[in-house]
Amino acid sequence: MNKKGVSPVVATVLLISMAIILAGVVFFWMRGFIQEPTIMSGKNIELVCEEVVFRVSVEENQLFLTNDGNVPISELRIKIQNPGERTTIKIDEATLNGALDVGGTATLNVDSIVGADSTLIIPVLKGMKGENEVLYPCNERYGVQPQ
Amino acid sequence: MLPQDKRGVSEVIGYVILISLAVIISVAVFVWFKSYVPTDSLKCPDGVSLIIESAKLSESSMEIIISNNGLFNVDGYILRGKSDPSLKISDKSLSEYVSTGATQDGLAVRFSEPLIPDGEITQSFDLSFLGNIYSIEVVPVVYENSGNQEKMITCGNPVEEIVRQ
Repeated sequence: MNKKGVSPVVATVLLISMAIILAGVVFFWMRGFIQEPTIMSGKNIELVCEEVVFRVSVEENQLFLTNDGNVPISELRIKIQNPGERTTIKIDEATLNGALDVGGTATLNVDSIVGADSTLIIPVLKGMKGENEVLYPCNERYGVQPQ
Repeated sequence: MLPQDKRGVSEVIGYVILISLAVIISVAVFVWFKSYVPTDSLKCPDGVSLIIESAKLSESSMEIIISNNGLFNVDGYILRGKSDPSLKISDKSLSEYVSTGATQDGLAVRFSEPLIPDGEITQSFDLSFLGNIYSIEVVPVVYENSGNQEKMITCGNPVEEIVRQ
């Protein structure tokens, strides 16, 4: 009986090839289950949120904003806190119309900020998720309270 | 009754599974964390500065003299203004109203040639479409190449000048 198997070199090559093929197959199959990060300016948009610099002041029902940083702001979320109530107002891209690009200013009429306990303005940035453009609201800690 | 066959997977299959798992985990971790590695942001060098030497306001236009009191060339600036003296921050973008001495580039005014240190330039603005402007502020900008694109970078805090009491 011939009990010789494959040579150790061939066995190693086979082992590694099978491992790599199996890893590739499983990775591509599992990719759909992992959430793809949103990218802006070549980095994760969560890191870009740290670089947003803007000022807000309030006069009665008017909000005045200037973008002093180097990150364009596409939309805004305005969180208004009143006793027993918290509302969020969305200022969309069409309303801002590029006014808060780098160096821009915007004036907004928001009646519900009059007499509010606190107001927080949260920037929303535009990034890429794969091939698609998506809007990404920054974390509340990057929000600004009006002066 | 417990199964009597206590053989597991063969040694070779064991190695294949082990190595595959290691490769999959390492690739997944690499792909996931790659985007979290901070890259160098485009930043304006320290020492870039512009000042408003003078601002003359007439009925429908404005003439300003800007000088470079910094250490580096400046490519342009962002001009904003207050339409009400009681406002805390500017509410009007004025760059688009530039009429002589430079061109508008988005929300900025871009010099035809970079303004060198100690250089001075006069610019006119046609403000006939705007109401009164009470103060103006200037933010210097420089342009840097990022990949194949030229990107505008704003520099520092705005310099404010009151033009109407």
